[in-house]
Amino acid sequence: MNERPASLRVARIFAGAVIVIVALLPVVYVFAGIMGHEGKPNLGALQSVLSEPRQWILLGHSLCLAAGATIAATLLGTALGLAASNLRVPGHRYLLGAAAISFVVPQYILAMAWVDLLGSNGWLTQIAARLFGVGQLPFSMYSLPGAILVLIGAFYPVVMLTTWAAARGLDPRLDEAASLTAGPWRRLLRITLPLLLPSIFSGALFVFALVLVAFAVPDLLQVRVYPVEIYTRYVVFYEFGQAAAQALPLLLCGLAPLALWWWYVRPRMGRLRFVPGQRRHTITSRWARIVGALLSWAVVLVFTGLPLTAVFVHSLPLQTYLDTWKTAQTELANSLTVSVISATALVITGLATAYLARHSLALRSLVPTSVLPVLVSGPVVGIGLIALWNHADPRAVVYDGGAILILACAARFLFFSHHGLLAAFSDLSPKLEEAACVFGIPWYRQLTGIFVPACAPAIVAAWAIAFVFSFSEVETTVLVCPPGWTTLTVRLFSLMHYGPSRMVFALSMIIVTIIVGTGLVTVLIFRKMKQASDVRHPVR
Amino acid sequence: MLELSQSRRNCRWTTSLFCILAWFGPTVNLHAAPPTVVVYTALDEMYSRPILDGFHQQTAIEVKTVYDTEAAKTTGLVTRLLAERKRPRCDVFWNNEVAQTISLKKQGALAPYRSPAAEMIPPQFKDEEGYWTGFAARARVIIYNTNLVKNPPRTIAEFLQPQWSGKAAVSNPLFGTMATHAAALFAVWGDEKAQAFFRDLTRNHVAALSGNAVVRDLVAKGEYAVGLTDTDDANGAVEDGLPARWLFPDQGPDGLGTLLIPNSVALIKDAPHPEAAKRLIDYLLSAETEMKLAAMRSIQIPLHPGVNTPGRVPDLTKVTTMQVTFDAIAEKLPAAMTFARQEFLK
Repeated sequence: MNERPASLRVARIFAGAVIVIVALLPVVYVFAGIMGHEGKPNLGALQSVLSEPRQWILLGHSLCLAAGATIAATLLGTALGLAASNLRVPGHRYLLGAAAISFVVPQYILAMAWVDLLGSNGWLTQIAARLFGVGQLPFSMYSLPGAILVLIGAFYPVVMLTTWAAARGLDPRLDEAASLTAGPWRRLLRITLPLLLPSIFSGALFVFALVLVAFAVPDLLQVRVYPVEIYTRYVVFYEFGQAAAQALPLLLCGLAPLALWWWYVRPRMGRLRFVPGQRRHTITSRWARIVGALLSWAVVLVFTGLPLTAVFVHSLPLQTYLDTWKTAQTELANSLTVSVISATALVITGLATAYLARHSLALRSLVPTSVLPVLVSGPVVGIGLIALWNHADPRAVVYDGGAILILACAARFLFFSHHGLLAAFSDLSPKLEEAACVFGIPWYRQLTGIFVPACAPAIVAAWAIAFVFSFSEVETTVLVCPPGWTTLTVRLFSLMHYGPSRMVFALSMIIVTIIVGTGLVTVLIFRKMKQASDVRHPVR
Repeated sequence: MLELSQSRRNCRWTTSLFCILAWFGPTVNLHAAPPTVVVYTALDEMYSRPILDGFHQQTAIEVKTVYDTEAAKTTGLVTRLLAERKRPRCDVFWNNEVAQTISLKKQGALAPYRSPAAEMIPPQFKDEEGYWTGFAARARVIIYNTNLVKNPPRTIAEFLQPQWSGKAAVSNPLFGTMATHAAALFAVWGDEKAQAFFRDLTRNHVAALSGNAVVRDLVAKGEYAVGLTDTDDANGAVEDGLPARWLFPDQGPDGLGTLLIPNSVALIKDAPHPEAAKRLIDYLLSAETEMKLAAMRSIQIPLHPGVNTPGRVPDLTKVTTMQVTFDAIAEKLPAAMTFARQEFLK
């Protein structure tokens, strides 16, 4: 047993080093760029950025975009989440699945589809013109409201799923007690909703943070926001210091909701505890169910069905797919290779860190820093990776090959895999670990023999999410993609520049099919494993 | 300690190995390196890919290509080349215009190479010191929707007339050939007049769209009546049977003339594969390549004399071209881009 502490220490150092190298250093290199780059001092960059009035206007645009999309997505998501959980909408699991599609489909594909539907000559615009004589939308799709619309469709599922999951976790006894004196709607407003508020607020803050750093949609719709400005500063003008300086206000704006969550929301989330085996009290009014079901499905069809139908119809005839297939095989192979490896690496790192951080304060303190790449936007991570790895020394080996793409995906999504698996581990009874320690089982055997099998369904889900995110990634990879390693999404992003051709739509459909297919397969595997896991490890 | 079976031990070792490979595997090149050339190209993929595929078939040299992207266009590739200047990964820069290539030359990112294939290309399309060579030109043209417009503007200055207010579009002068066009106007008109022109465009609600292809699409769809784009984009709309036509602007006796923008190709300084790079440059600068580019929808105009082209390719001898040198355009490019940034990136 003497080797145990040493090996554990080495493993912790290794896990910490991975977090530092993958997530922390690219961001540190960007902010170091405020001081100087390529041997040239840049000290005035921050001051000049902060003194430009235009920068505050851009920051205002970013905050408007984030606030607008967050408020609308929260209202919509909360309503649909409550409908799915409390109204027993028929097929509510399919409803949730269909809604989730618009979250996992790359946002730039949704943006392209919405332009096609609601542009000046879009399908819906033409239908509206014929039916109601309304020739134009009150706003252009190439504007802030247009970007907000696209991002509402992409992010309302986050709040919907959060609300639904939280509602399922409510202690039903509270509702039952209230039912002695109050009707279903009053209980919903006075009991359920206040209890769900911390979760809804969490979802909303998460959406705010993600929309604030969204790059692809504003860029495609020509909306000037901070991430687009940072990209332009670096890519068009090669002003590393200025781009780095601009990342700072963006990071501070992203940290604000995180701080709010940490200090205000997180302490209030402990009230939700699901009590298995007890029936939840739901609204049983027939009319409420019918209206709820119709409205819920209508929203999901509008935000998921319509855009994907538009993309599919424009990709026809099927010959387009054959032509696209002939020219996109290499890119598809690159995408699959990068996504599979980065998903695997993310899950391995997430597993190891989630386990090792349980008894290490230092590692536990380091883990939250993996949120930094999420809060500074994809282009900033890309700039950081270039600054960190593009050197004429052994680091060039990483920068010149597919490894830089894997690092790009890992940097952007490490936070999600860590925290997903951390949540799965925290559900396990500590008695398992205690029992293993009593029998002298080494830590690595505890991890592989107890924790991994017990959390297998969560691991599969984490792998699938990491795969889907990595497969869709373009905001960072577009900056660092090495010659010969072009991915499907980078190719699509490049082709969009020539206008929405059939090939662009066909490529989009191929990407959507792979993402949705991965999701379906994961759900099937997850269910099977969950059933088996619940039988083998009933401890909760 | 529990007993471990041999198979479980093997399994654990395999898992550990897999973990290590998952992180570090992609850094290892498992293939024996075939002859390779890396090219960064700003020419649209649909036109450049067949040419590069032809080079691969002819020479068996593997071509690794980086295309420009929606958001960055040529400028993105130039920045990338500058960022990689100390340790270049690219061998050949195939630009769809010239000014940014000259900017790279000024920043010491290029190496001279006088290709024997370019001997017949007129000297005004070549760098005196051999740092870049032009070929296969396009022109900046006015595109208009035939359903909406009977009398299209004949000069770019007519875009300022009230009748085109909110009905005309150009691409963003920060990117691509529109940046070159803006720099050319700065060179020909002088800074003051050129700045006034672009400010007046904005005042007349002329849209600055994200690219020339977008200008073409939106004019062909009728969202805008007229626009300024390149011959390759304009011809694509005509060949697709869309209600669009195009014309060379400023062709009058005292006219400014149409801006002609050739592709340019350059060897990167300290290129990792210089010999393969020179072979690719020779291939690109051949009359055969110009003929292929002319035969595509892009109808790029050959600069080699006597190249057989389809009838739809414009005859340069019948077009009044803008009298400005590429060096003068490159000289004005920073000023034009700085101005465009203030005016169009609000």
